[in-house]
Amino acid sequence: MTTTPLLEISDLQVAVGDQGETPILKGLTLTVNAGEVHAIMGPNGSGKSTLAHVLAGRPGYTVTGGSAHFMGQDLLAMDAHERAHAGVFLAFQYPVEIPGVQNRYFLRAAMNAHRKAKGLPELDAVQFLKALKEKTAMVKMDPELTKREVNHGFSGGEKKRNEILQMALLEPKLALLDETDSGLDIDALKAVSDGVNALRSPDRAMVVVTHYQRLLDHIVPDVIHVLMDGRIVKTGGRDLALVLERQGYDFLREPVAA
Amino acid sequence: MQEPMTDAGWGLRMAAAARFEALGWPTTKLESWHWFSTRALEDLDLSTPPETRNVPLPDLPSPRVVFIDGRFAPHLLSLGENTDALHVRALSDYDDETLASVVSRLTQDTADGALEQANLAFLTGGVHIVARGTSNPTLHIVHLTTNAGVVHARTVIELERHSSLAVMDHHIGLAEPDARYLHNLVTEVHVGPGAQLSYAKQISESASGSHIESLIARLDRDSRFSSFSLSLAAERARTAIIVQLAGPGAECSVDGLYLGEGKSQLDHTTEVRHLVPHTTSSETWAGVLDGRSTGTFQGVIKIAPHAIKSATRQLTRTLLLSEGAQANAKPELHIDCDDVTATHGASIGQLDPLQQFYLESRGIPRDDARRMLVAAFVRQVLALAPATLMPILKALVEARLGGEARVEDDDANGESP
Repeated sequence: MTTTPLLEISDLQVAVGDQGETPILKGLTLTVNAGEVHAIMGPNGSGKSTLAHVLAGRPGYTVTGGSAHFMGQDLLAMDAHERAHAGVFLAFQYPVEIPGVQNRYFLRAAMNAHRKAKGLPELDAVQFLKALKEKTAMVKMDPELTKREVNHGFSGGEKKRNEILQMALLEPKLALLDETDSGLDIDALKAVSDGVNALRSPDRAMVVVTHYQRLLDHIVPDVIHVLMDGRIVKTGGRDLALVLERQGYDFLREPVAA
Repeated sequence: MQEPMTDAGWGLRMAAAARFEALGWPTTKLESWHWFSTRALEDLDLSTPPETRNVPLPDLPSPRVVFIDGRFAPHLLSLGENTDALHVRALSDYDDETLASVVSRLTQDTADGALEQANLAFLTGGVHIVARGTSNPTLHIVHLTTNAGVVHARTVIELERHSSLAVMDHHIGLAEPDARYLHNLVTEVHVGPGAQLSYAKQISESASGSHIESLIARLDRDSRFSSFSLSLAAERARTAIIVQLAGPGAECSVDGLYLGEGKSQLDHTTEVRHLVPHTTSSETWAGVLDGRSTGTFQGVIKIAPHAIKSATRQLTRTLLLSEGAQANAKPELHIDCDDVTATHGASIGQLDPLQQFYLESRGIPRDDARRMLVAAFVRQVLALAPATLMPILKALVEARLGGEARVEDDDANGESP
């Protein structure tokens, strides 16, 4: 029996700039199946974050070629909120502060938007609080943070935990974790990783974008890809991360040029 | 229904008519009228008040003072249990001498205030509200306009020593969308020593309704005046607020929010004068402009040479939601004194695309995300409104913004997960 991959990216080319004149992704191909955790590593400027944001539907990028399908649907033709409803979730490297919007009001609006898209009735206050209580405990987040304004004045660790809380509440099929380790001390890194690991499941895939190998000690991937100059130049198992840690990315530059 | 005033203050009104004749309509050459042209209104006959149409009245809050088409409606007056603390008299009840002692003690006899003179000259109705002691709950002043014509209503609010009062002033157009009218208003406010006035005003005029108001307040020693202006709808509306901090320890906040859409033009011009030492003022204004609307805030703060130890803060922010919308902002400080603290700032911007993407990436559709962000912007200034009046203002703003524009905290707020 053949199954449709969860995410199938083929020869994806993406540019930025007013006229889309600066290419970032230059023909990226990647297949992710349900239950898998893929890590995408690479030096700064290689296009890692661009990949995560393009998949989530952030404006400002021009797709100049190739395709991306999510569960067989043309992902690139969907609006950002439709991608979220379909099951795509981006954990931001820099979670956005929204003064004036209470965190739990935002969380409830997001959950109810998902439910509405699925034809389900909205959660009432009691149902929502029950879910919130369960998930804040799961990601070990201080429930008081849900009463504050979205990410406003949160520490780096609190912001990242708030991302994982959203992921836990929205239960995506595909989680894109963009540099989730950046700005975290080792305790916060461990807490956030525990949250992510608790959300691993056979029907959920994760794509973990990271510059450093250390995150992969905590969130252990099935596959590691190296992204350089807009293309995946190497794919391997866990050991690849250790090689990269030891040798850096430079030894991979040769084959790119060849 | 009260007839337009014909006898009271005849001499006073003739003099005002002569002043208006001499001054003429304010022009955009005047700094304070720079962004608000009256040209489109100048063909209106100032002496013709609207005929009152027989329209269903909205539910009227209480206690209240009601004006219909600029005429005080004594049969709709209701003061509830405030009869000891609150006294309301129609200006038409006063003889000439008394009237002269009550009105126009604060108005401007200059080109900037020409329409204040017109207001007195063609006065359609007015009330004198005197607060003694503490008045609860909020007094509503409800102005309903039902038809085309020109309304000149005047309210004099006087707070005696150590009294306190909250006033919600409603300006509601019930006229047909094509009925051209001008609501030319003057509000004179005297806040006595140690007294506190919380005042808010909503402008919700009809589609072809224009609204021009001068609110002039004088604050005695240790008094407080908190005002909030909410401009929601009008073809063109100009609110001028002039506050004289005349006694040491006097404090005022002059805040406002304007939500423009269509082609509406919403202008807010303020002047706060620190006349004596140890006076404090703060001003925060926010505008959200959509469609082809224009929003203006210009605020002057004047600190007199001897008004030492005074403090002032002025902030204006505007959010442009469309390419056709236009914002004008001009904060201005005139400080003739060294020993004061003053800060001011102005910003004009658009919704943050990254915040918008963040909400959309969580499944919140684009329009709902926009409304959430607008509500977030708005609630930051609404939070400054006098606490007793805040629920009314929030309900008005939510009704106007619709959808996800919740400015209240989540109703799950009280419980801990």
